[in-house]
Order: sequence, then structure tokens, then C-alpha cells
Amino acid sequence: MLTFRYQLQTFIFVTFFLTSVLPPVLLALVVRPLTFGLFNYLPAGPTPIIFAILAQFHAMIPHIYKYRIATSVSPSPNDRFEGLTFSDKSYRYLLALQLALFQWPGSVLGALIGWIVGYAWRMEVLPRSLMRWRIPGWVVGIRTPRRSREFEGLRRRLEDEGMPTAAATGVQGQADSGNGRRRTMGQQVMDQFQGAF
Amino acid sequence: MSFTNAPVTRSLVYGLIGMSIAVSLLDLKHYFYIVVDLHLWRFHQTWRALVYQLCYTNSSEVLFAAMTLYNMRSVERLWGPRKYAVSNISFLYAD
Repeated sequence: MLTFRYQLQTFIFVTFFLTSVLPPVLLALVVRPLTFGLFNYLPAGPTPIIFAILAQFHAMIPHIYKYRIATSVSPSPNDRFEGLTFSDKSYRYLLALQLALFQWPGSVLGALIGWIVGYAWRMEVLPRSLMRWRIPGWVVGIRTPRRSREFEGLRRRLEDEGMPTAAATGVQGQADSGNGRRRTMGQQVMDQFQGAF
Repeated sequence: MSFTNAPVTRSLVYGLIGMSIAVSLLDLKHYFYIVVDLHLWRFHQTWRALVYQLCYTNSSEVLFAAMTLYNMRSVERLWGPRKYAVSNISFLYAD
């Protein structure tokens, strides 16, 4: 369960790292020399990250319905269907496709690399250490409780458990409570409000 | 359904829109894209590789990116803790 909890954060973090390195390097060292300086510009924006998430979406989410648009009138129902098949996911891909084509051709390169990174994560072809790595809790805003606070909670629970028996035995209980650790007024007030912070 | 059970997607969308608006208001757009021969070869500004994905420089791109991310929130719901999945189903019934 714990391994799944930060999966999207981890995925986005790793993707961000890979897509900050790969598209500029590929563009500068491979694509630009091959196209004689035509591909020179890499536009701003998280298009690679969005396409990496889109690859996950493509692999994980099934379509709900499909519909087909006929490109020719078929005279009888026995004819082979000619046309295009769409699903409810097509709209989402269309939006993303537009995003990839906005600043041709740099954005297409970014989108392509993002899609490949997303699928590489899915197929587990990335290095194992990268796949195993989990984002540390403080990045996501999860605070681990301090050691002293944990022991404080344990102590209070033990004291609460000891209380009914002390009440039942009467005098001895009073003697016990006298020996037991007392909280000062300030500590009691602090304990009252501790859960609120 | 809105951003229910998709806090990461929500912060991504809000962060993207906020960054893009802030960058265009503060007139910082020229730091966020890469022109290879000028920025990388001549001025060696390699830090641009870490920065270029933080915002869009164009309002229609921001709109389309926000819509696409909003549509991708089911990925987060599938990846999230099982608790989220259960509350998601009950949400569907209540709707």
C-alpha cells in the first residue's frame, strides 16, 4: 500500500528529470545536425510530462463506448464497413495532439519523448534503481511524527488504561497515582490542544 | 466529477496556470524556452533544461494543457490508495 501511495508523484518527478535532460540533449546533438539547423527551438511547457501521463492513460483506462463514422454509403448491410472508429477517449487524445502541434516542430519532439518515457516506465525498461526509488515524504508534504511525540501518545494511553483499576482499588489507587508521574498545568493544556496542530 | 481524490492533478493544474500567469505578468517569458544555437552553444545556459518545463508561454497552450491534465485525473485515482478507490465508488452511487 505504501509503495502505491506516492506513485504518481514519483512518476512525475522521475519523468520531469528524464524529460528535462533528454529533449534538449537529443535536439542539440542529434536532431538539429540531422535537419541542418531547422529544428532549433524547444518551446516552453510541460508537454513531455503531459504526454508521459497520457501514455499511462492510454494503457490503463479502458474506453467506455465506441462509435464509427462511415466515409461511404454502404448500400447493403453485408458490405464491408468503410470508415473511422472512435471512442470516448478520442477527444482527450485530440486535445493532447493539438498541444503537441502548437509549436511545431519542437513540441512534437518533446511529446514523442514524453510518450516514450511514459511507456518505458510502464514496460519497466527504465533502470531498476530509478523504478524502485520513491519520493521522500517531505517533498509531498507528509510529516512523520517525532519520536518524543510517539512516546508521549503511548504514555498517555498507558495512563488511561491504568486509571479504571486505580479507581476500583480505592486507597491503593490513590497512593499509586501519587507516585505516578504528574503533568504540570502547562503540559495538560498543551496536551489538550496537541491534536489540533 | 471534479478534482475529488485527485490532489496531485489538482496541484499540477493550479501550479501550471499560476506559474504561466506569474511568468507573463512579471515579463520573464524569455527565460523559459531553448534556442539551441544561441542559448546552448553560444551562452552555455544549460540551466534552461531544468526550467523549460515549468510554464507555458502561450494562453491557448495553458488552456489545452489544463484540460488534458484534468482528463488524466482517472490515472491518479487508479494509482491512489485503495481507500480512495472505495470512496470513489461510493461517490459514483451517490451521484
